[in-house]
Amino acid sequence: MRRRSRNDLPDSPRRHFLQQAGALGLGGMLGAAPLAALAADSAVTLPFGNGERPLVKYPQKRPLLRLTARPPQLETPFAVFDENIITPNDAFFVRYHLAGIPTQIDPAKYRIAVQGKVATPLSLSVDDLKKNFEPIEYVAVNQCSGNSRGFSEPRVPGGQLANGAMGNARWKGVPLKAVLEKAGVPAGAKQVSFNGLDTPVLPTTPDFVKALDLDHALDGEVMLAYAMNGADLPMLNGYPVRLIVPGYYGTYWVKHLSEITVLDEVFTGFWMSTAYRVPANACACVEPGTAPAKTVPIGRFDVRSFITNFADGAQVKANQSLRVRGIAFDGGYGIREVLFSDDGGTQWRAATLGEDLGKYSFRAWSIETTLAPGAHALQVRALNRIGQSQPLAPLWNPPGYMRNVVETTRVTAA
Amino acid sequence: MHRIIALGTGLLAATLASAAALKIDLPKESATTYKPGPNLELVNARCLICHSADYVATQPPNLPRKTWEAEVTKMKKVYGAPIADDEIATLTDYFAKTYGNEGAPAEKPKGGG
Repeated sequence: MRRRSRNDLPDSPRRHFLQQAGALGLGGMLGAAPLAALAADSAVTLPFGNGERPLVKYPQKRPLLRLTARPPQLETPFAVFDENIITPNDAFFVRYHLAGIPTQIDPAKYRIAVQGKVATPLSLSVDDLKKNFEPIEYVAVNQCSGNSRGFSEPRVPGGQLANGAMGNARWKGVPLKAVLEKAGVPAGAKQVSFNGLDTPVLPTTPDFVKALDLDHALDGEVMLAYAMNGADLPMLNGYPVRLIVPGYYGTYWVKHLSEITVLDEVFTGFWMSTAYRVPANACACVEPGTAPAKTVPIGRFDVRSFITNFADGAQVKANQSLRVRGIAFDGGYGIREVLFSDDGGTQWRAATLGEDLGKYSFRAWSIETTLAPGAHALQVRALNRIGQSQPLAPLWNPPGYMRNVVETTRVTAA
Repeated sequence: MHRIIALGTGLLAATLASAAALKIDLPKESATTYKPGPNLELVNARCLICHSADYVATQPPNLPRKTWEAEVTKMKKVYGAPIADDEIATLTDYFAKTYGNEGAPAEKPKGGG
């Protein structure tokens, strides 16, 4: 097959101008009738078929795009990413897999079991975490593996998300490493699995359990977080404690963490061995419509960048200076450079980077441009500190994971 | 142990009354049925046990029968849904005709709900 990579210059000149970062106000593919049936401020239509989403207010949340009700899956309106480099807790996306989700938790009774191949099993309360361990704190992006799946072409089944299943928060908690060291990990341990309080409706459905290699679990950065942006985690984001795996897709960020199990073998549960796997090649991609021969568990984020202050189809002033701004992030190496093009990708200029909040954070960027009257394709492309970038044409895989094509925002200057 | 906590708000309201406990009430599910189509009763009986109908309504509008068959089969074999062997074809037929690319053309632009 063609050699392609998420990191290198692509070998295809294709452009997909219809696939956009902006989530609001794009109903052209769906016709006027369904749109008219929805109140203007109670729903949005994402720019793909069956893209109508009601805006629904959940507890501790502002109105968010509801993908599904049971279990709840809520997407952040894209405009939120233009408001602050930190995503507010009440706007942070929500993703569950199993409908048995906790809606009431008493932190006085909540415990995290540290078990399996450990010298001393532990039962930790939130107070134990706060009082008996040195806290760590950092800003990190959480992003759903299937963020932007709705833009896959050909389309694939699964949660049909636009670009709002991501968020950037300041997490505080204790390193998993410290907890594991307190329990004592023997030589020969291979992986650590993580379970949360969410459960399947049927006992025949595999419980949502994820695993990390032991080296990763002991890297000192993977965190048991009890605070998010200086407050308790919202219930729907994993109250009172969730696992933070910075740079890695949200599937590993187990919510309502209840069991940490040290294993002397590779975990074989469904959510690792069958689900959340990507093609085992450099691009995590295959020819559209085909199946990969070999897969591996999904891992780090690839590089992404977005324009946040102009939605696709925006009208802008011609012949005067405009500031275009947005965000970029990667899997934890840090953003080195953000390139911007206002001519559909012929010429690229380096944008000014905003404050560095850490290698796992969104990085703000901005650049000035002046547009002549007419239609323009604005594009943004980030590079990280190890030289990874974004492909100019989208890469495809059957589950619709890891989309990171260079985004194009079409504007008309007048 | 955790299953008890996740069973629902009704049971726990009585047992976890601590002032420090966090309790939320989820909004009501708006769509409690699938769209009209062949064997809708069976579809509602099998496919609302574990998730809401918007799981299907938000899927791409033109998925082919083989995709729906794979989804229905996955629900039975992977997620353990109580679907009899001879119901796989019935459910697949419903989804292909009602939400998939075998529906009437006029229905295709509709979605959501």
